[in-house]
Amino acid sequence: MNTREIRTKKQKIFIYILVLIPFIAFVSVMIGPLANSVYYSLTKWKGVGLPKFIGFANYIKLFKTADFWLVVGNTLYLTLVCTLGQVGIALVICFLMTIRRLRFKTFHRAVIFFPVVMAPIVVGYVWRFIYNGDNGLLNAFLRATGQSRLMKNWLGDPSIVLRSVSVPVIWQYIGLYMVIMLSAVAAIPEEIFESAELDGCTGFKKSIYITLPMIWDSFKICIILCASGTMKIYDHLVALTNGGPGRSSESMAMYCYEYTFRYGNFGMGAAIAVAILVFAFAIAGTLQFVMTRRKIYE
Amino acid sequence: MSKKKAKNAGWNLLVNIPIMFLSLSCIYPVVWLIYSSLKTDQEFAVNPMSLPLHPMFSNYVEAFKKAHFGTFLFNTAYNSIVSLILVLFISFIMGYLLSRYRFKGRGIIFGLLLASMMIPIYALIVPIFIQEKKLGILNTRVSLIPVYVMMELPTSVFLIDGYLKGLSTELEDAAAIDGANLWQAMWKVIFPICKPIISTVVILTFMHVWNEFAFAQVLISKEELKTIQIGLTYFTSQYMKSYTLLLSGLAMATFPVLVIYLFFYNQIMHGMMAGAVKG
Repeated sequence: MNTREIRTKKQKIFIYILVLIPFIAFVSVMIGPLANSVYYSLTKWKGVGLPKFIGFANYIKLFKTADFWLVVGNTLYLTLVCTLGQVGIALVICFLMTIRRLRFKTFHRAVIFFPVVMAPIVVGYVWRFIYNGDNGLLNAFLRATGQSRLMKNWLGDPSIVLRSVSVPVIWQYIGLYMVIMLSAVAAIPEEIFESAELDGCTGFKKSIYITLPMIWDSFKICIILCASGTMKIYDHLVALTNGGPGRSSESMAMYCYEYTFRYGNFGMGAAIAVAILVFAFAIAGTLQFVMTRRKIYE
Repeated sequence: MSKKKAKNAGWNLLVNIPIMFLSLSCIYPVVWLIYSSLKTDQEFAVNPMSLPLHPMFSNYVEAFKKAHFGTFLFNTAYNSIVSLILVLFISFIMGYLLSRYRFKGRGIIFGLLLASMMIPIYALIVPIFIQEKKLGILNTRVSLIPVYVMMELPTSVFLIDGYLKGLSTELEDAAAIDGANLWQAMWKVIFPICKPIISTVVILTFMHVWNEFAFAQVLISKEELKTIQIGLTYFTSQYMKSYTLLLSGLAMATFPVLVIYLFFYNQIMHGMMAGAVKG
């Protein structure tokens, strides 16, 4: 380990000061509000005056609200679909990248990754143009290719809107998970592939029996990152549909924003924020547990 | 033989075409965004996919004139630059000290930084809003800076820590013998060597802050302090009639990121991977 010894007392004090000042700032900006959030969720508070402690009343009211379960359902649906879509497609591309037949690998990697660095808001608006019912690119394309009967009001139809909004989100982040898993693939010793190929293990088999087990840890990280990332989905939806029509594409984060800043109900807003936190941790924890136990190698 | 060849070609197509399709779908929207922003509204209404007949920049001029785009751009640039200077300064100090020295409490600090990367940041919006309201710093030039700095701190510290782990202490030891104190060794000897990782930290921070939306929406309501991402939502309500004006706004919000991506592709890849794996 490349470490150094602390020589003098003066040095020790110096180090402590330099580390603790930013650390305390960090705790007060990031961890403090978290504790506050839990406290406010137990109070009735309109943002002015003193918060009044009311115990779990906010939570009880929240759990009895049908809209809350609707947005929880939306969020969980998006989390499931986006995780399967993003990590699944990324994994397939990752497999294909190990195949010699695939051309222009560097080009694909650079291009598929690009949407990751775009602002979610921009991605949302661009896809709004694509989905636009009257003169959107998608409908224009369908009309031009003679598939008019497939044309839909992609963002205006409550029965398909969740599926529609998941596409841009998946599309944007495939590249991120692809790159993470590709870096794990690059770390696999070449001899393993070579000897597997000698034993007749090629193509699809190679991917499932060699590549996947070898990158399992990265795969797990991708799933967890993606699931907990999608749980807090907000920007995309604001730009795409703003939650509509009705609440049919509203996420928990949007619901929290609405309660807090539109209705001015800070206590309830905090309760929703805590709920997001609990859901995200529960999902991350479950995934961690399930995927570690089902280790398919060793 | 020819049958085998045909089969081979079939496989090649099967592998190459879907990926090529995906790749093209990833750049086409950006290309479309850029050329469409040079069209007139009439042209756009006739055919949203066609190339502009007479490319013109009046949308951009109008975005600056009518929609205060200059102000939005300035604010975003200001937030990005101030945050990244602070992130760089703080994360280098913390990363360096946490990596090089072993002291009581180091484990806790490290652990908390790591754990905080799992916090869904959106859960913090309401309490941070309340806190800033109490402190009276809502709607000021410093509303967003602390949030952005602390948001980017954990990843940056881990990147720097990871880099220093692989760097021997010889240089600092030599500098110490020559009479340099810790502060000097840190900034004059080690900082310059850390250039690769520093640039990764700078680029990642810049891009995250540039693209950030939720906090900017909540903590800023003053017109003259709004950022470009918030400005974009404005376009849709106030100028929804003009699609091409919105397109020019979207293009302007994307240009800096695009340029940085083209120039610093490797650092971005590296940073994204390291950040994810550590998280």
